[in-house]
Amino acid sequence: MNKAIVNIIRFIILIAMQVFICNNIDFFGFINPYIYILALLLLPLEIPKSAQYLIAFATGFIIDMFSLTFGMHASASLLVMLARPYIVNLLNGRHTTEGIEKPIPGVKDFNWLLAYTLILVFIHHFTFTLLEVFNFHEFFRTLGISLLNAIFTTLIILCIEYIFIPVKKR
Amino acid sequence: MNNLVEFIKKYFHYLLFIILQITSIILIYNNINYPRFVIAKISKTITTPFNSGWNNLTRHLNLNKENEYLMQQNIKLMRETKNNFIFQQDSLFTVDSINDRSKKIRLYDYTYANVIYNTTNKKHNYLILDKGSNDGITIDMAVLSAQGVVGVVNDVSTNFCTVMSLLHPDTRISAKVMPINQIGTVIWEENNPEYAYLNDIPQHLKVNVGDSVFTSGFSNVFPENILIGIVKEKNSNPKNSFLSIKIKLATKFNNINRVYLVTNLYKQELDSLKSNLKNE
Repeated sequence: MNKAIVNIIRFIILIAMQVFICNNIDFFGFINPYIYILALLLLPLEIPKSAQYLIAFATGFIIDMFSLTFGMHASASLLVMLARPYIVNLLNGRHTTEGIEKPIPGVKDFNWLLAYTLILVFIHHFTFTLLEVFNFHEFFRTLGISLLNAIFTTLIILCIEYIFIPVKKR
Repeated sequence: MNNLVEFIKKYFHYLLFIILQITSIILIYNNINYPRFVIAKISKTITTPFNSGWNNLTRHLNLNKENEYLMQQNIKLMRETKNNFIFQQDSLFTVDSINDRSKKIRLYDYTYANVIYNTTNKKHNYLILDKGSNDGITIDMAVLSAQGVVGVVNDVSTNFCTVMSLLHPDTRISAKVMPINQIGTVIWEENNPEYAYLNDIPQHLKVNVGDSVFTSGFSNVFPENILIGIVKEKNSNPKNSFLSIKIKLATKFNNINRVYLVTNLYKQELDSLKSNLKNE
């Protein structure tokens, strides 16, 4: 099957899940998982950066329209897209593999995936929470909330990855 | 030029990133109230000192107009006080007669003027006001300041009028001293613009220092209950049976700028009645 079609279907399904299921989850009053980030994380790294930014912005904007937070998700998603290649380089260390990077189970091991997901999700959540609170008076509270949220979202995202992505070699 | 194109090609995605980020910030600002509130607050704290400074500079320019409006408003309020009216009531006192407002007859009406000449240190003191017969000023209108009684109009030209100040030996103002409600006459005798004397109060009445002296309303010039001054000293005069009461005048005659003029709408009728009394 064509790669592009797979990606588009993945985006549609994840956005729908986010909008209709995860937006209604509200643990302890402040934990909301944002699983649509998974679609951004699984986007192939080799497509042009401009296209990546546009996709991230569009995705965030759609989520914004459904959750009435105009621009916040768009801004956070854009930051995730900006940070993604740097995080990949950081995690690969010196063993930079030339060619195609696939941040999926099977290709990468669990620790790599955990770090990759957790860091990017934390960037997203921190930006989003900061934009939502919009001041620095309770900075550490903001930090704590976004960290807890990020851990929760990472948990869900890793579960989805390991359940639904077929692992070819284990 | 080629380099520039290369540069833009190379860093186009960063440019796009910045543009999209700005777009989302604008979206946040335009659609969500709280960030807008925070930004407005920050910008206010920056701009408020400048705005208030400018306001401090410019607000004095409008003072004249503001004063004019205030005088008009004051007159509007003064016209509504109870001492401007005669209440005619039926001898048969019923609930209807209390509620019936149509039996209220207006006796006094007000206007205002600026003082353009004023003396306080002479034997005979006068004021000149910038309104005359063109503005409906007539002789014997009462002149008040915001603090109390000033004097009586004694001459009118087309555009100006002169006022015989309370600080004039010929001025007699019918007054009453409260709370004993005793009628007397206020006369200015010495060369001090702060004090005057209240005569015709019998010695057996108890007048205390600090009692207020108001107009009586019997002269048909001044409305009732306009403050003239406060009792400062009282001495019993052995030659006659009246108290000699020194009062501190409420009006500060040294700095009067704007005054109110009071006209009695039934002056002629009341005066002709009075002259009939004299003729008999």
